[in-house]
Amino acid sequence: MISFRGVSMTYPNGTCALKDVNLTVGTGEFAFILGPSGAGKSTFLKLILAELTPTKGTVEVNGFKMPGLPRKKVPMLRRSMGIVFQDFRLIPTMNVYDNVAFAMRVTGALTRDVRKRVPEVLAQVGLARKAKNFPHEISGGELQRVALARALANRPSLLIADEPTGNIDPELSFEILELLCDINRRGTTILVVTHEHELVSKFDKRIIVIDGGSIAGDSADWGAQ
Amino acid sequence: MNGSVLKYLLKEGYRNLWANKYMTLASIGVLSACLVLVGAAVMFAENVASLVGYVEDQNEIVVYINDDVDEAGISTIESQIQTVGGISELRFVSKEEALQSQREQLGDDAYLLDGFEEDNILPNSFVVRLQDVSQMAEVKAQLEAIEGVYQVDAPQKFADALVSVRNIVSSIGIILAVVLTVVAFVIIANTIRLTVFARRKEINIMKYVGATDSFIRIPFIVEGGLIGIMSSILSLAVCLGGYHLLLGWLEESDFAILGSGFSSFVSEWSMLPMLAVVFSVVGVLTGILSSYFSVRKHLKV
Repeated sequence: MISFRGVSMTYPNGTCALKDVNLTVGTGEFAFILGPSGAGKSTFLKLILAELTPTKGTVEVNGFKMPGLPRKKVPMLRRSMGIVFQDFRLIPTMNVYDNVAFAMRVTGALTRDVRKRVPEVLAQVGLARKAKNFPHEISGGELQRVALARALANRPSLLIADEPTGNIDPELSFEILELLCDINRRGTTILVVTHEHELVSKFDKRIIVIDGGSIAGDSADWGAQ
Repeated sequence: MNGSVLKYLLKEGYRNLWANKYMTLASIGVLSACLVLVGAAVMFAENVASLVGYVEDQNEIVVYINDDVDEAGISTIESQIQTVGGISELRFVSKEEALQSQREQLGDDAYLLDGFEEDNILPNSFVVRLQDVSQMAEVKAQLEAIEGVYQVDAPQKFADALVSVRNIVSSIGIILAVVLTVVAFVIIANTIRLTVFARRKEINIMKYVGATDSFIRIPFIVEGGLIGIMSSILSLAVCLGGYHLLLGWLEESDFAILGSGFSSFVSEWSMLPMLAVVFSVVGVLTGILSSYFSVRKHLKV
């Protein structure tokens, strides 16, 4: 599903954000990417999203290989996964329903399919009643669930969450992660990027620790030893 | 791209107009103001052109004919004149008519011409009007070459002056319209760039969800086009309404003399088609192009 082979990323200003990273996340897995800020987590995500091209090594996500991915294919790569951002990134002038519908519209979905799927996915995250509200009218936890609903709308096989609990209350954080576990049980591969040790330790999932631009530990390896 | 998607994108463009209504109003205001200026320049140039055109129509070349040419010779000359290009009007003035009009011009002193009826020294002539005074020298030469023609009187200096006035006015009109159009384009492009900049996050989000460039761009272009259409309609109403009021005011004031002498001012209704074409082309193109270029910058994510 995701594989990094000898990946290094050096920015034009000379900063080396990742050094020789090798990593594989298989289909159906649930993994945390854990590390302090500045460890290279953001760069790691940007590489997965094809926002950056690795300066060394290869990244492969859902069958899309980088470097060498044409600019025209980038939207296809992004549609093959669902992404939840720390700052939600909802469109302020669209209501909850339209924000979720938008993710389906970009794939060229038919109006009839959109009308069927959006209420379904809003119900799944428990927001059926807030469909007509605008982002500024709902709470942080609800915003995060809208973002989650949007990520799920196209039934992606891979879901990536960037600090999904960064901007919400601790009790809600647990709830969001439970929701992610539930989605994982239905077969979706999940990758959660976070810096919250304590929260991660409450779940019995694979943990990949990034520090100083390289992989400092992987619970999958510990299990094997 | 299927019909469902296209319909959605058109609707999005329309929805965006309302979702960003202050920016929409600002853009329509700026674009309309520029279009009204362009319209004023066009209307002014049209009036000057019509005035110059009227004066131009007054040009007359007189072709005097030798006295020894008989009636058959005169009609031969007439048909020869008709073959000369660029002539809009041809009128025969006989010796008798010429004398009569001289008498009229003299008025009380007409007795001076008594006795000339028997021995009329005034020649037969043709009065020729030209479609375009700039051809005067050429036509004059051709007329002089006709056999039996005694002399050709042409107001060459007047024609030259008129032609240069016309050329200056039309180049000023064109320069003014072009400059104002460029100014309109720059200002509206900046306004739209601001609205797009205010929504760069939105564009960014769309990219992350996997939207293609054209999927993001089309609603913005629809929006720019709609702003262009609305501005065109608004400025058309303002220009024609303002011009109508101005004409009404001019007719009542002392300036009416200016209009009464000749063809009077160009009417507001005959301005309509030209302004409508100018406004819709400039307005819609400006809206669409500036949206296109403003969005392009933010698509590189």
